[in-house]
Amino acid sequence: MARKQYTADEIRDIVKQENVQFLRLMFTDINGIIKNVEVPISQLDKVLNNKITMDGSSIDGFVRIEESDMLLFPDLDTWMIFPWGSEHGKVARLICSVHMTDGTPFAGDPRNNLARVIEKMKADGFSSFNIGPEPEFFLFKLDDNGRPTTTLNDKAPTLTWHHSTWAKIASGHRAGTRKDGLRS
Amino acid sequence: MGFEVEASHHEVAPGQHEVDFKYANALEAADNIQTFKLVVKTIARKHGLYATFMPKPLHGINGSGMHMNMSLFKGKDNAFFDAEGEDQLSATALHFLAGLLDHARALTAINNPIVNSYKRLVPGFEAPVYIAWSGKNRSPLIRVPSGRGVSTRLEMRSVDPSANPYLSIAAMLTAGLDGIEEKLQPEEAVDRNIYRMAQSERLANHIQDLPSTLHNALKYLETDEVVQSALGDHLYHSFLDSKNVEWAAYRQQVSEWEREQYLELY
Repeated sequence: MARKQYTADEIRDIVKQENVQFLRLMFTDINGIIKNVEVPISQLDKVLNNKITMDGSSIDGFVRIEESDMLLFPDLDTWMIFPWGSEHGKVARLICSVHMTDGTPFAGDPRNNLARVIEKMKADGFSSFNIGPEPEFFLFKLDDNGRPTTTLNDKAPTLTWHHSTWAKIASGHRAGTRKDGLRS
Repeated sequence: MGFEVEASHHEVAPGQHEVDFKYANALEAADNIQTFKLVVKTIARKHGLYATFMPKPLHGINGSGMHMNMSLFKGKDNAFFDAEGEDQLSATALHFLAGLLDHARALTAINNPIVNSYKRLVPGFEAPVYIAWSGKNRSPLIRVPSGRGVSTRLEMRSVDPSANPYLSIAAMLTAGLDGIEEKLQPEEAVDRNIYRMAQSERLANHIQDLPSTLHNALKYLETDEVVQSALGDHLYHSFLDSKNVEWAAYRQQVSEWEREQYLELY
């Protein structure tokens, strides 16, 4: 069940082999919204050495009077190259935790906070908390300006992924499609 | 490496889609939820569509939930399973369940964090409204699916996809661990149809309601130190402040429904 673990050197090799041009450093703000810092591949070493900075107010929206520069620490286990192309080159992402300039975890980063709670769980004698989520979503048609309408899509694509930790998107009726046995 | 995507077109009924994930440990699961949202939105857009995780974009049809199946493990062993336990659930599972029920109303602020979340938590659309659990009913707040052994799990059905997965998982884990520490026992399972019970009957059976609005959920959060501790000081205060601003902005809005109801009547 654990995802593949990469070393910094493995990542460097993959970047060369796959001609990755951009790195997207992802983190999540307090509202669950994904935020990104995108850097060119020339910054790879800085990324891997936890030296990329960002503005701490993007996590919770509050501008602080004092210095709010924070550091992004990438979790190498989250390395992923996006499958959609770009004329400018491949984009890879790393999910990051946010740290103070002295390296201590920023308490306002939801990901650091979950890691903290997981440590408490381990102190209580458990080794993992396994989660199987069932996120649902609507597909709406876009208007001519590319904005979503409230017209539901009536010909939805079925998207299937082949990846060790993912299941497939099942399209269909809302009622009665939920099955027991998410884990076979 | 990376993942392959294949897209094909089918005639399907309009609207809603669901993904069932294989389970993963908490941090990875939260990361996967975020990745999933990003990938779905990107692929949808490439097909000229917009994927939204808003809980109730349209009145009158089912909203979008994000049921969370969960279990605690010790090594390879599922700590929720006990072959000798009642219904093969361990004491740990029941304490954890009791912790979730005990803190359900404060958890709602985290699991259903936007004004619109509460438009989904109404009767008639398979979303939970009452605080109860069942191994038989399909629509309670907490369901115990039939799987046992390594598949033994609790399913929290109120969570919606507007929830911050890192906060939601941290909060539910903390509430469950509190149940274990305090050795809480859950109320009896409710296998009857709660929607058919009158309010007096629900009260007699100690079945409480989930908060009906974000405002009410926040009031419960403010009195629940366990769920507050799940966020830690910084996040708790930031979250509360931000949600109070959201509610204050919402309550000043005048909706189309109000104009339709009241403009000509008064």
